[in-house]
Amino acid sequence: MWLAGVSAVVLAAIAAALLIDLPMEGRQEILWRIRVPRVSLGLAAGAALAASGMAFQAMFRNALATPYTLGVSSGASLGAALYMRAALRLDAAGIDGVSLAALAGAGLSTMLVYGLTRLSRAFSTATLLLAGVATSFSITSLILLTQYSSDVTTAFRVGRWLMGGLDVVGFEPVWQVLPFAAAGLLVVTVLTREMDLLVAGEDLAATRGVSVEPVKRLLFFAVSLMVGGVTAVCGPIGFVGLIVPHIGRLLVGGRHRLLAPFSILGGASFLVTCDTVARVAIAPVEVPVGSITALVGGPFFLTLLLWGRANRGFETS
Amino acid sequence: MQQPIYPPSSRRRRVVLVVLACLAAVPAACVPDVTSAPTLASAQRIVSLAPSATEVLFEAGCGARVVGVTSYCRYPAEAAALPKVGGYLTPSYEALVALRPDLVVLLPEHVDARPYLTTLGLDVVEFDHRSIRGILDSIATAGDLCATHARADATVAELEDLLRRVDERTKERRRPRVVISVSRGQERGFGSLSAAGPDGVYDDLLRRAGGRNAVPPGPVLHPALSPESLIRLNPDAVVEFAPGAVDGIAIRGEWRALPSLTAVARERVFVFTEDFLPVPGPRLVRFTDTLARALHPNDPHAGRPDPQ
Repeated sequence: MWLAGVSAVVLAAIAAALLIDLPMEGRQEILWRIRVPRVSLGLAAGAALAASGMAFQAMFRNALATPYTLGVSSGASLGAALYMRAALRLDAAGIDGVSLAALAGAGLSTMLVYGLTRLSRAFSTATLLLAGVATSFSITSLILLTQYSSDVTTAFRVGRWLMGGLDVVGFEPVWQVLPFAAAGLLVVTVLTREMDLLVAGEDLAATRGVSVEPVKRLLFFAVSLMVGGVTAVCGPIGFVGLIVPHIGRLLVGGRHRLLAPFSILGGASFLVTCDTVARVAIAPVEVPVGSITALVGGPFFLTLLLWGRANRGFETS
Repeated sequence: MQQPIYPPSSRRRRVVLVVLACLAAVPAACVPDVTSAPTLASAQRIVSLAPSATEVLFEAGCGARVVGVTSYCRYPAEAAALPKVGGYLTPSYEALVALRPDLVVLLPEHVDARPYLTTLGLDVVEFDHRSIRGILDSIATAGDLCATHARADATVAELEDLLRRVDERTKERRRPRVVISVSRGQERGFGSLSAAGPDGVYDDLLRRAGGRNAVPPGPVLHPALSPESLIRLNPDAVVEFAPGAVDGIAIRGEWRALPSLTAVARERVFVFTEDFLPVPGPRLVRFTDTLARALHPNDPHAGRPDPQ
């Protein structure tokens, strides 16, 4: 049933391209070189972000954790901002230079947060969270400085990048995201039982045979890579990773065996829906999808929270 | 608590290696930037991605072939009525392809859009509007593209003649040190302003109008100047661009908040409200004459007094 829902969203988003008043050749070009890549990227990014948020919320036992809590997206954004500020134009193997710089930024910030956490003897969740949040804030101020010292056009490009977007042409960006998303989603779906136990508490998880530290480390790196890969291409798209898992907890409960597939499919269809709104709201001018996600998802979530089955929230999972 | 798996030194080495690998990936990715020269002799369906490019195309006689513009392209009136392809740096690629263009005109600022246009198999031509010379050259290029040489060459000749006359009038005169404000915050009284740095088209405009930029070279291209920095720079004249503002005289009056500025004391604050000021096109080139007359008011050839 869930798959049918996602398919309906995807088909609606794609089929609309066939209704454009154009000769067949033009419609095909829009369909295959713009619309299908864009919807595919939305599916991959939405699934990855929602699954990342779910994993971090479980790992940190914190309802407010998002894919960006540990500063991966700040690192990626700083990489992209510095690249634009330096007015570089490079690309390798068809991968855009901004994406490469963002990926490098995400990798470096992940290593920095990991290194800081390892300075304390154990791989403590509290230290990881604090190191991540502090790093994120420091990097954000560097982004602001970079943006401030840029000319108007560059400042606008950086600002636009920070809003997130899926407006790509061709399949290269999709191929670029897929390996990160696939690897991360695999890890997250395999570790559902471990995440259930982590939510109940690390000590309890340890008594039930979970190797807590290796599992946390694996989740940290898998999710960071996944978020880094997505952010490098799409920029930081907020809200999906925070709210879709919570919608799942309200609708299907907190067990990750159900919650993980719900987050993946729900995140994918949610982001594609938001992108469709972003594309058609004031067409042909496109609104950055990052500014639509909270606008569309916020009221939906609040409705569920206030009038839905609120007793199946995070704390009872 | 669990023991570290690796001894610290080995771990550190691994971290360093990963960091180095990440850094190495960046220069390894370098490829030379190849800017394709315009090859089309007769573009029939042109989409312009910038207001200044639209203005140049119409001045060069290509207007009839322009089929799409951005939502910021409001001049000339015929351009404003054309189908829109989205924002200046954020075009909708679907709207663009739907117009079936055989040529897309863009600026060097379109680094993000350009690879996508290439992927879509569209021919692109780049106009460089970061200098007055670049604007003139782009008019000639547009004339080549549409085979409207006579019209384009006449426009270029007219503008070059204007610039030459301004240069002759001002070259023997002392060049005032000028701050050009491209935008000024008015939310909290007399706020900081963004000045035109010593680079780019406004600096060029100022030099050709017989002034020199009071803003020193630095890493910031549009440096924010607080009232304190303005007083330290103490320019001989201030030029404020307030495109679209209704009451230029009131804006000039706000400068009385800084009476110690030489420019304020000597009434050398000039406010311009023309809406084309942010668009580096032919109208900005013609504006050189207006600016020169403001900065050199005792010019015996000046046709009119200081604006406002």
